[in-house]
This record gives sequence, C-alpha cells and structure tokens, in this order.
Amino acid sequence: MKRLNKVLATVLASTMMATMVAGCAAGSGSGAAGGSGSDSKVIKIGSVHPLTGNYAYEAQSIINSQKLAIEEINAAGGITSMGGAKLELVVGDSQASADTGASETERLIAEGCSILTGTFQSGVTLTCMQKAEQNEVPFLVTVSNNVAMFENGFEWCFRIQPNADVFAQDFIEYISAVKTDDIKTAVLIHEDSLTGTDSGDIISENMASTGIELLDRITYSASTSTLSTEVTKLADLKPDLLITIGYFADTSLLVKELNERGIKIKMVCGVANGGISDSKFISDFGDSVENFLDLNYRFNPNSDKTKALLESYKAKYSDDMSVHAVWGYESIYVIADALERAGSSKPEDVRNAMKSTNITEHVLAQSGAITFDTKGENINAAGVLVQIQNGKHVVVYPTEFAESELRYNK
Amino acid sequence: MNAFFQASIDGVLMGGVYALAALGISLIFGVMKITNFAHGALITVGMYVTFELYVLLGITPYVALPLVMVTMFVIGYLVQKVFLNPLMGVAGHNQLLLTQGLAIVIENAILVMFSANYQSVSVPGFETAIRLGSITINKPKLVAFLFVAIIAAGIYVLLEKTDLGRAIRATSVQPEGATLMGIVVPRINQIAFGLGIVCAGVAGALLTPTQYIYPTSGNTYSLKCFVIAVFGGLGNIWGAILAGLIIGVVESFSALWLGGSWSELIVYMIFILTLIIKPTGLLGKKG
Repeated sequence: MKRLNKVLATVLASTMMATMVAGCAAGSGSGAAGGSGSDSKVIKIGSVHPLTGNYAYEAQSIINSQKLAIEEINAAGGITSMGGAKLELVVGDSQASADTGASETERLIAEGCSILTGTFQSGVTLTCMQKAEQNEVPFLVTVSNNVAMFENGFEWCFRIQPNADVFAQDFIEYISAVKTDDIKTAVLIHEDSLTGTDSGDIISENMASTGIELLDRITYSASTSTLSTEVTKLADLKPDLLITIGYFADTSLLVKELNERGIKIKMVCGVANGGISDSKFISDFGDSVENFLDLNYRFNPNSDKTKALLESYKAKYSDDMSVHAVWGYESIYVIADALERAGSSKPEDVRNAMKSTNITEHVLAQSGAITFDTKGENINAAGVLVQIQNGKHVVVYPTEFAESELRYNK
Repeated sequence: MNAFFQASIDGVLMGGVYALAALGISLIFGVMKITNFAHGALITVGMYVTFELYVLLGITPYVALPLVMVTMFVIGYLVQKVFLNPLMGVAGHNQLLLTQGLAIVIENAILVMFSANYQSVSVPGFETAIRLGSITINKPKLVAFLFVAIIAAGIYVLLEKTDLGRAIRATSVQPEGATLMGIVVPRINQIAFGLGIVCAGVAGALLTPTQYIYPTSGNTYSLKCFVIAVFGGLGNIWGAILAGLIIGVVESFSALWLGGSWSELIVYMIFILTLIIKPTGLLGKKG
C-alpha cells in the first residue's frame, strides 16, 4: 500500500510538472505572437515518411523537397490571406511500419498540425489515413499508389499522384500505342507487396488487349537477397518484352543478374519502377540500361517551372531531385493553395478548401488541373513513358510531354 | 534440367554466405549463451568498413578482407568487454534486449554518418558471370564461397587445435570450471564474441560486390541467419554450415518451383518445424 502511494504521488507530481511546463510554454508562445505582430503565426504541416529503414533515401528526398517548397512559399511572403503566416514542416518517422506510422500521425496531430502528408508505402499510408479520419484532420498522400485505400469512403483524405489502376491502365494504353510488330511475348515480374500486386493484377488481366502474349508472371519478395532463380526462368522464356514492377534495390538485383548472364531483351518496361526511374540506376548500370522504359509519374519536363525547380533542388541538396520528391514539393503547393483560400488553419476549413482545389500551374506531367473527385483522387492524374537515352531520363510518350522519340532496340 | 543445376549452384553459393554469418551467431551462443540480435547490424558494419576502404584506399573487398577482419574483431571484443561482460550471469533476456538496442544504435549511427543513400562497390572483371555451357556462375558469389570455406576451416582449426580454442570450448561447457582451471573467462568471452563478429563482418564484406550497402542492408540476413543457427543446432559450427547450405538451396528451389514469394515462407516453416520436431537442431546435442 505504501509503495502504491509512492507511485501515485510520483505520477501526480510529474503530471503537475508537465502541465505547468506546457502552460508556461503556451503562455510564452501567445505572448510572443501578441508582441511581434501577426507575421509570427506559424501553420504546421505534418510529414510522416520512413526515414529509417529500406526507403530512408526516398523518404529523405521527399522531405527535402517539401522543405524546399516551404522555403519558397515563406520567402514569397507566406500565406497572404492569413497575414503572411509562415509554414512549418513537422517531421515524423514511420520507420516503414504501419503501427509506428499511425502513432507518429497521432503525435503530429497532437502537436497541432493543420494537415498531414505521407507516407511512401501504401500499407503505412492506410493506417495513417485512418488516424487522420478519426481525428478529423486532412491527409494529403505524397506517394502511395494502392487503389483500395481511397475506396473506404474517407472524407479527409486526398491524393495527387496517379494510383496503381491509372498506372496499369496507362501502361496498357501506351504500350499498345508504341509497340512494334516484333514484340509478341511478354513476362511480368514484380515484387509481391500490395504495390506490386495491385498493378500486376490489372496488367495480367488486360495484357491480351495489347496483342502481346503474357508468357508468365513471376513474383518475389522485395527484400530478397538474390533473384538468380527468377532470372533463370526468364532466360528460358525469352520474352520480347519484360515488364518489371519493383523498388530500387530489387530492380537493380534483377538488372545485375541479366547483365551477368548477357541476357538481352528487346524491350524492358517498368511500371512505377523505383529503380528504372532513379538517376542512380543510370550511374550504376550505364549503357546496359540504355533504352529501358518506365511508365511512371513525373514532373512535366517541358515546363520552365520544373526546370527551375530541378536546379534549385540540386543547388540546395547537391543531389538530383528524384521523381518521388516532386510529389513532396507539389503537395506543399496544393496545401498552401488551400490555406490561402481557406484563410484559416483549422483542419476542417483546410479540408473544405482542399475539396475545391483547382491548380492549373503545377510541375506535374498531367494534362489539366490538379482537382479532386469525391473520393479525394486527382481527376487528371496520369503517367508518362520515360526512357533512358544517352544516360538521361527523357519522356517519350504521350507526345504532349515528350522530350524525345522512343528508341527501339534492334 | 538446366534450371535445376542453375538453381542448385545459386543456392549453394548463397548458402555459403548465410552459413558464415550464421556461424558467428552459433559461436557466440555456444560460448556465452547470448542471442546476438545485433548480428545483422554488424553485417552492415562489415559492409561499410569494406566500402570505406574501397573509397579511401581504392582496394577491392577481397584485398580489404584482412583489415575488415581486424576491425570487426576489435569491435566485437570491445562490445563484449564494455556492454556484455557486465551482464554475464544475469537473466538472459537482459543480454537479448541489449543486443537489440545495440542494433538500433548501430543502424542509426550509420544513418547519421553515411546517410541513407545506396552505396555500391565494383570489382573490375566481376560484372560478368562464368559460363559453363548454359549454366552461369556468379563470380563474387563463387569467390565468397571460397573465402567462407577458408574462414570456416580456420575457425575449426582454432577451436580444435589450439590452446585458445580449448579454453573457448572449456568456457562454453563450464564457465565456472574453466575459471577454476585458470582461464580468464571474461577475456575468452571477448575473444569469442570478437570471432563471431568477424564472421558477420566478413559475410558483409563478401556481399558488397553483389548487394547495395545502406544502413539496414544487413537486416535481410539477420533473422535468416538466426533461423539457420537454430536449424543447424545453436552452438554447433558444422550445424550452422550445413543448415546455411540447405537453406540456400531450399530458397533457390522454392523460388524455381513455387515462386519467389514462397521462399521466405518455406524458410520460416522449416524454422517452426525445427522448433517443434527437433528443438536442438540438425546437429545439436540434447541440452
């Protein structure tokens, strides 16, 4: 009993201390706001991404680009409708885990974020979206292409990027348009998480409509240490077209094994492939990945806005801006636009403003404005075909965004 | 038929690296009864040491191997001395938690020091495979396999034929008895842990020509090596090697016949079945 009392006393004392400290902090905060005028108002934007784990590199690039966008907006005077309020990014680490992502989402909400963004992995994004819904705080997906998560009737969630359905349908449409007569057979190889399986399903169902015969569908775990058996199978099947859906490390493993055995394939095309669309992929593999294609989301290469963005990113972080990072950047502009129109940082007002988003000036390779349907999906989201030519990524299809003509292997 | 031979070769070569890493876990458990959950993180450390030597001195992983071994031995020796020796003799879960904590610290230290970027090491002339008819053999994996054989043999000789080995074995059987015979058990523990970590580091170094190096790249091997060590019989060196080769081949064939998604499922099924049917593992003695 004595011991229980002691424990209770400690708990009570620490709670009181915590309350006092919090009270002081809040007091000094409001004092400062009153003293120095309205420009000290800060709007918090949450960002939950896997900063530790296998996707730390991609996550960091998304956060870098979000910070870049916030710097630009703050430097240009912040949110004018709110007296030049400044944006601040509050970062959470999902550690590539759905549970951690959800608890980080709650933490960011408790810290007073007006809107949240995330998370790069569909499985994690879903649990974060659920937390955002429960707490009635809007959530804007940066990167995650799973289709089902926007079929739950969520009312606080939005996504700018094309989902897996759009990717797969665009792939079928574009490949039918660009294929030559000597491409008769295909093999689909993909990692077996939600991301790979979603697109894989649609492609294998619709492959017949392209006139190309799908010989086999090979799946593997993205964390695998070897793909030699899978490549052995590929070598036996000798497809004209290899369709690959995967992340950076596993796709690299695939290409290494293909190169080692000297296997040449007429056309290699990724679908939202984390390897082929990464510039490190080109520096690692050089000529051997020349003419590789990827159906992916991308910035609009022909817009001046994009060119300026790529330069300032490189200047700031001395690294090329990845295609994923673009979504971090654009997400901040979509949020800033909503805040500007809402004139308020209350989550509900932000959500309502998000619903009537209509941004015509953006850096994305999609025709038309960024605008959301009733589910929260970007109506005009689309993919483009990107090809590696002379060691650079260039858009080759649709022609509206094309920088160069598609090249075929002999 | 070709696919069959190809899968066998790929499986055995991959299994060799698994075996070496698992041997480290087994050795550490055998001597100190510590389950080292930091093993995967230390494989990553081995990879980064190799990578740094490659960047700074321009030497290939194979040339760097002796330096990697020395570095890893020192790291292991100090980890045991500073963190684990004070915990010897207390309940086992304390050491287990400590190694898990250590793994997190190491991963994040690497993240801070080297960033999350994927790094790679290239060995000139190793980009193409050796061809035997329609069978291809991956050069880095073949060389890794040879090194694994040499190092495993070295550890065997050390344990069986030297005074130090006898002292290590004595400590593993009866630490109190070993102390009475004049063996300084804490130091033997440090040496044994150092040797176990050398296995992890060398496995990491030998993986660098085929794998990307990033702060969590050892994690793929961590749990798998633990499974292999248990499957082979914890504390049994030959068991770890045999189990490593078996798991490598099983993975390869399940990928061939059932698809890559199955290989992990089957590996962990073997683990569960081992625990149910023969908890002492393939070559383990009854405890």
